[in-house]
Amino acid sequence: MRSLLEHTRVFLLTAALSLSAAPLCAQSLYNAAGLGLPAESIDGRGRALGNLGIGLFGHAILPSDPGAAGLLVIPAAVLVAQPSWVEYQRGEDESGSFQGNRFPLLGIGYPLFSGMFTANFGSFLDQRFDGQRDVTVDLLDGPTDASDFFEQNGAVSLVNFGYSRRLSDRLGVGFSVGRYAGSLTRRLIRDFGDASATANLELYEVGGRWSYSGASLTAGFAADLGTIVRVAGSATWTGSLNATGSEGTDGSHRSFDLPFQYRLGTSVVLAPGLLITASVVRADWGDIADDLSTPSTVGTTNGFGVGLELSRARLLGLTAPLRFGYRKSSLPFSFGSGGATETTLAGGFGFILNQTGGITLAGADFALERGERSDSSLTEKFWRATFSLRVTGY
Amino acid sequence: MAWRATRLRRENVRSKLIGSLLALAALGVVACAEQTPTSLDESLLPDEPITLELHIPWEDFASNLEVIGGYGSPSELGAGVLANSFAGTLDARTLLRFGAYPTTVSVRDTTGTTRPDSSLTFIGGRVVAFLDTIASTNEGPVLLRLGAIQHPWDVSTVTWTTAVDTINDRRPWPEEGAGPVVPLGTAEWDPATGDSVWFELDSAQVAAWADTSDVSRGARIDLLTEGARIQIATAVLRLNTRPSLNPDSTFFLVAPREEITFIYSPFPEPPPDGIRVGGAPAWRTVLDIRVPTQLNGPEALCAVVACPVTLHSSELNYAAVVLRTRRTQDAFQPTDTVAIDVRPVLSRVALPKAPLGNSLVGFAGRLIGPEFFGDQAGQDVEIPITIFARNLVSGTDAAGFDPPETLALLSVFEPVSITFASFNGPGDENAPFLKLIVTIGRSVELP
Repeated sequence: MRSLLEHTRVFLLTAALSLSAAPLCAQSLYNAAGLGLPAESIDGRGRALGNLGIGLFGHAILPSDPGAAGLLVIPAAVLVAQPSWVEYQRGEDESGSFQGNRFPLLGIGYPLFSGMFTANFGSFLDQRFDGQRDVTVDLLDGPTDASDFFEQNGAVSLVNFGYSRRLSDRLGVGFSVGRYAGSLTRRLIRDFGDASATANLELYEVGGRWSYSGASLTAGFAADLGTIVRVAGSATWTGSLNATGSEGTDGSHRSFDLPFQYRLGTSVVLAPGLLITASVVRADWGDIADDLSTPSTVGTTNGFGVGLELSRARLLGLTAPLRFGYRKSSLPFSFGSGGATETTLAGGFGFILNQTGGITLAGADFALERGERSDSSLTEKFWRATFSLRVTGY
Repeated sequence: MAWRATRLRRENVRSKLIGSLLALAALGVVACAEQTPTSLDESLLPDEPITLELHIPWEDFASNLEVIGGYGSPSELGAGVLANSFAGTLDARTLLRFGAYPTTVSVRDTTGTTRPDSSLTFIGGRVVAFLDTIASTNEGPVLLRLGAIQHPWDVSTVTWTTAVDTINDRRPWPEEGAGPVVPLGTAEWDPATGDSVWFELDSAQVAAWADTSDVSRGARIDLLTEGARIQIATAVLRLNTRPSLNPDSTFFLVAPREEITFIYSPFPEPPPDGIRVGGAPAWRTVLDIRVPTQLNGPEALCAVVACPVTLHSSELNYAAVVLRTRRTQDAFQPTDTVAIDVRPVLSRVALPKAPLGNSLVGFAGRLIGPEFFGDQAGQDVEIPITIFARNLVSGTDAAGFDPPETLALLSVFEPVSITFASFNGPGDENAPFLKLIVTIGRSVELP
């Protein structure tokens, strides 16, 4: 009877996780504004705590928190998947929904030269979206209906290589050098469909493909004040983001100025098994406005997040910390006259699958966020799930 | 022991949980249904390109028009044609040869046993002709005549004046029109009563056609009624046979049609100022094409892009040669739908035997009703050549070679009928023109 109960619990847990994890799918119409929508490389624990990628106790390898990597002592790796389901409303007439998936972070850390060598690959700007426009073309035979389809497919991604080390038992510093990569394809297709007044008309297709390049440098620290407080900070300098058209692309090469980014975060253990965290971020994207050829509202991204973790919670005999969080941040690009903001309420839990001597050898974290992105013309309400797997050890 | 059992169960649950999580991760990746955010906001799209229809006159897109005849032979049509002063001019006769006669037949003898009998006596027969009522022009009864050919003839090269026209062997008919013949009888065909007609033969004529080595054997069918054109679908020779095992009975055996062709007069001359497609032997029309690669108008285009603008192949949505139908000579006017094919000529210098490329209009061809070459002549017919024109604009074909610049207009099957299609040629307001539909816009830039 007891065995049956345990099987039932495993089944119910699996079913519940299945509902949140499949299909893995994350996008936004804000991808079409300016250079796109920033995509943060944060794991499931950080998402559940409303964190902005800095200042958490634990063993995460996040590109925005190089100091924390210096406090790690054994190799670690993390993989993050993030589906989302979005409903949007633009004006009074245009509404709909879509879903998508991305993998915002893949990172590893390995001890080397008395420190921790880190490498991670993550998203930086999501740019994928489609557009459609119905037109009527006047031919000698008469008006003919046609549709213009526009496809923008691609993203700016960031590859980071870093080195962090412990300066004392309670202070770690680190830096990472990043290279922007990825590409963007923009294609406009005019389709005359079956409504052509004459014979079958071939598609009209024009567009191009651009490859991104550029460099960034991130430096940061993480300090433990006793065993109950951690404070961390980082700054990221970015050179120009260069977009080079490939052969056959008529569009011109372009260059965009990316902003400095500052992050500050802290975690405080209020009581055994009870942790609170807070973090802030700031980046001024104003300089990029002159680089954009299409009208777009550009602003400063200020954000903050707070969260609570009950780390002694258990589920199915496993340690399963419960987490809750809230965050609010502004988006760099928007459609309306004012800036756009994103707010989320988050909840989640983690599983410590294997732990030895206080070190988590294998763990999984889940977060589910309910959020809203809005400016004066577009509102998106979304569910966003984040699933991450982390392993440590030799 | 109980403590140990509990611990084992927990380990079991834990391993299943880990397995479930890993399975979830895999499931999430596999089950992803990506839906791209799609906006209907036109301001997010690049500037709207402009789509225009351009008509290029003959002088600016075509040259070296040439009508070439002689493709195929009437014998390849597998049908016969009869005419007598049709449209006041056309005479046509059908020539036939029948195959070897059957040599055995299964016969029930006087004891009731069925046995093969190879000792057959042909006591007579009849030539049965099956007529195509749709392709024939007559509405009332017509009189047909059968005759036995007396002169050697070759089915592939026979014409109204020539019985044989092979290499180093050219022999005219002693009498034009496949004559002389030995008259074998007449028969009347009324399309209201059926689609076949027959001529009775005596045993002597049946015996005369039994020798398959005799190259002069054959039948000629004439039309005696003036003003009609009739098409024979096929014909057979039915033999009245008396077997030796049962001489009181008559069996009907069939000798199949071995060869069929037709000869006609007068043979149409190539048109001096027009375009011709079809006929038997078939006519083709070839012409050189050039597509403008720079556009300097109209005003609507130059308002969007700076003129002159270079035309790229991807901007060419549609190209067609527009032909205007004209009345075909009455004697050769189509009675059924005409299927026009258009193919690139891969080597113009090799004409008239130049190889042709793939069809630009598909297997069925461009179908045109017969009335457009008669009472409703003067209709514009578009022959799409978009792929051909795109290759000319880009300067290469799909395989990376220089694209051919010559087009051939021809019948989908050659030959398919004695009739042919006629179109106006260059020289007046009815001349063919090139219809282009182009879409041109600014290049797509980054945001």
